[in-house]
Amino acid sequence: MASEIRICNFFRLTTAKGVVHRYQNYFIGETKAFQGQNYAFSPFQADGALASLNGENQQLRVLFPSQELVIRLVEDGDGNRLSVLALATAWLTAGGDISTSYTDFFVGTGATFNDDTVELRFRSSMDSVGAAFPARTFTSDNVGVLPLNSELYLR
Amino acid sequence: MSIVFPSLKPSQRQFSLGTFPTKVYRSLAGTTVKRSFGNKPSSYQLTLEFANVPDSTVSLIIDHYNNTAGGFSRFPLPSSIFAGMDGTLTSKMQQPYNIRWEYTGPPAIQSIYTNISTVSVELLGELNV
Repeated sequence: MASEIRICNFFRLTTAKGVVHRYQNYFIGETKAFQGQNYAFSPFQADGALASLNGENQQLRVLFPSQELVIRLVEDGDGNRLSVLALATAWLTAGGDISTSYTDFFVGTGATFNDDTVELRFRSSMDSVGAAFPARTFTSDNVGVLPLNSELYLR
Repeated sequence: MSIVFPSLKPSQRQFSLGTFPTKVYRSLAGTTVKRSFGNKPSSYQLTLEFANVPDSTVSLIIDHYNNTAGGFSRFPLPSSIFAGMDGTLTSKMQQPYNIRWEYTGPPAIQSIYTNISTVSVELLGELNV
């Protein structure tokens, strides 16, 4: 087991209007290439992802300092509603190269401002439903607007 | 706007290198796992003393402290602060990677004699991104 861990988060947010923002939080003041795209440095922190046997949505929050570009990101992105986040967790070598990475996908559910931070809130895209659900595929054709979380009810 | 610290030569100088952002998990068995959160050090520390200087010099330091909003605005340091060191060492201490300095507290002024004081200044070097 490695006793020295270096982890970088790569944050790729696509707002509801289709604007893409890319940031990483390890290489200070640098732009880092990941999967063919450049990620600028931003001092954000991602935490809170949960998973359970019942299949509830994972909750994730990403904290940014209240910098102008982050506030603009939220305002231009309709308050982080319906944005799509691809958050990659990358393990680094001592030389800063990426050895392994995993990517999770989330849907934006809002944002909170305070005097020094901006909190972006996300939930995992729908990944599980209750056992009582029929084995059918939801599409916008048969259920209308697709739900963004797993709180579904059979009526 | 960054306002350069006055070009003064300190009579005493103490410098501590910055630290890398890491956390350590220590298991009950005593083994440790360290996680790194960034690739640059921060929080450099520099303590300066200007001994037996005239009131005009004290005023320069007070004005600089006030003009930088007393620790809010960061600023670069002039080479004179590192007088006595060779160029290589000065460059490592004067401006480590993207570091700007700020006051950690108000300068301390001790009156020694008529028109003569000793001023102590504590500075913190933080990453400027």
